[in-house]
Amino acid sequence: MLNIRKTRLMTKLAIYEQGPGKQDIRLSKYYKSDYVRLQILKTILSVTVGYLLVLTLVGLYKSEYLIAQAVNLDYRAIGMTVLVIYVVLLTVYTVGAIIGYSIKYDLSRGKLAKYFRMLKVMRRFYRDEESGEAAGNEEANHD
Amino acid sequence: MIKLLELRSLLRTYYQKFQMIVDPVLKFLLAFITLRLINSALRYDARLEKMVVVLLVSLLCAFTPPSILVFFALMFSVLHVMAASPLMALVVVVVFVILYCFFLKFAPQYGYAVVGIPILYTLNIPYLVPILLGLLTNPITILPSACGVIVYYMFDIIKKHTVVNANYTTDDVLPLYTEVFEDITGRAEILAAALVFALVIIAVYVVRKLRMEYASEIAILAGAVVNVFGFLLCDLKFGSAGTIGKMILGTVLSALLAVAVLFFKRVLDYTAVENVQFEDDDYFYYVKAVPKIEIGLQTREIKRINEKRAASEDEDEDDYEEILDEETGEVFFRPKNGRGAGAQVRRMKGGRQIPPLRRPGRAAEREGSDRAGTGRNRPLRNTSDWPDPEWEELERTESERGREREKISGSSRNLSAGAAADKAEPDSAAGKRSGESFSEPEAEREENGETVLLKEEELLRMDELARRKAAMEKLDEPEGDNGGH
Repeated sequence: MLNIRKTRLMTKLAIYEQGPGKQDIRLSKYYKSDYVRLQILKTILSVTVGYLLVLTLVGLYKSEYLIAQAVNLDYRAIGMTVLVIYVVLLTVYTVGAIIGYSIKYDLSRGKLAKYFRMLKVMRRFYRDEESGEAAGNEEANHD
Repeated sequence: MIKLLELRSLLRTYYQKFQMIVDPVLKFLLAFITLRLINSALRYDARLEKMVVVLLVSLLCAFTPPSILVFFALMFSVLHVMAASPLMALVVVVVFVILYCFFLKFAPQYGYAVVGIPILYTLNIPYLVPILLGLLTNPITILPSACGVIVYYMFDIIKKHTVVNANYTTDDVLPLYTEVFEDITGRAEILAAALVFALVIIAVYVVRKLRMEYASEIAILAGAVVNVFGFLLCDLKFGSAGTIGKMILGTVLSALLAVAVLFFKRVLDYTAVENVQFEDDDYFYYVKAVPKIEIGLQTREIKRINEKRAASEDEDEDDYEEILDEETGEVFFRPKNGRGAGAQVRRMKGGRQIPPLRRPGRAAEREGSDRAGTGRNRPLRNTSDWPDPEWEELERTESERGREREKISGSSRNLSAGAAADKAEPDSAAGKRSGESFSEPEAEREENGETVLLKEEELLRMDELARRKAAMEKLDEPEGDNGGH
């Protein structure tokens, strides 16, 4: 026999799970610190790749000069400049990632609270069903 | 406003009904327009300009997520550039990857802004994108909007150089790249435009979040103002004052479009029908969840079953007109065409408004014939409209006055009209008396405290008495004459 109230609740849960809640549920598998750390790592990787590509484009642009002045170049100074820019970029992006992803995680927890409440109600449904079935079996045994 | 709300409900209903068709059609149209605009802006590869290709790709975009449209838009751009210069195409791809790494990675869901800004630049309304981003999303969209600005200027520069240098050989590729690179890095207006867009997004977002009425609409206005001032400064600084008018016009258009989008967003928000599948221990569920919507205002149609009867009811209601006595501030009600001979005249002191009295028409007679039979003869159809104690008092006063008037009329009747005239034209006589009845209350106003009521029945009764009296006199006269002879 179909339980209409249960079906309604399951539908609401399914809409959330398959729609906006997909990402929230994914985040809920992590502790906040783990999630933020993972995202920082991804950010560092992404910034590094981006920075290398920018360096490539700049190198291509300056290629004639670099080839012509290959012997006379102050590689240490160039390296320091490149490194300083990289570190500054990394710092900015890392701080941004910590703040941004922490907020994102907190927001998802807020949304998940309602979802968990609905899950609790769902669990109660199952408990009631089980107790009903158990009572039915007992009656049948008595008969 | 009611019309707009009705339109909103109507649109919502139709959208829900035809969502399965409307969504792909809209996506198809969006993809088609986007690809056509890219083709018209970068005309390097004739194969991509073929209608079949555009239609097929648009059709594919109609049934796939929006990110696929973004991908195809970027692919079309790169392929066009590749037809002109493969190295430049490579540079474009590298730039896209850089933009992704630095900006888009943090807000991949807003990738459409990267395509939207260059596309709308061709229509001179790129300002719509930051306003909408501030209105509908959050400030993280500053990053994709900056990407959009960079992409637009990059293609603009590439187009300029590639057209001029269409016959470059392989040896000339590096100088071409150098020129493009210098142009891109040398144009400070790219940075300025990205900055203004960021300010617009922040302004719109902040104002929208304020707790006040019409916050969204005011946010659009604030965004438009920031946009105009920002680009005004840019135009003046970079010496492109000629485009100020165009920019202001574009901003106004963008703001209007944003208002329209806001309206449709409110219409379509959370109205999507959800099709979900799940299972429990016993069943598989395939559920279609349709959001509840409010019912739109319906036009009320009144159908008259008996036209004649209905017309007579209306006539009854409109029989009386309201007259204000300017001296005393009292209100009278009297019949409009004088046919209600002894119509009731009602007034009340102290500026108290009284609902108009109505002559008991046919409808009232139908409703309460028993009431008429009791002689109470209340003028209102629905007595519950009136407080009973008040009405009782009025009636009491009225009956006393009627008795007094009967006594007076007995003597005055002989002077006013003959019995023959009364017989011949009872209506006109009654009309005459109705005129009298309006003047009488004026005379009695000083004496009586609050209310004076004259009833048709009483006057008729007076008429009847006078007529009988006249008939008696007439009968007496010939007898007297005969006896004399």
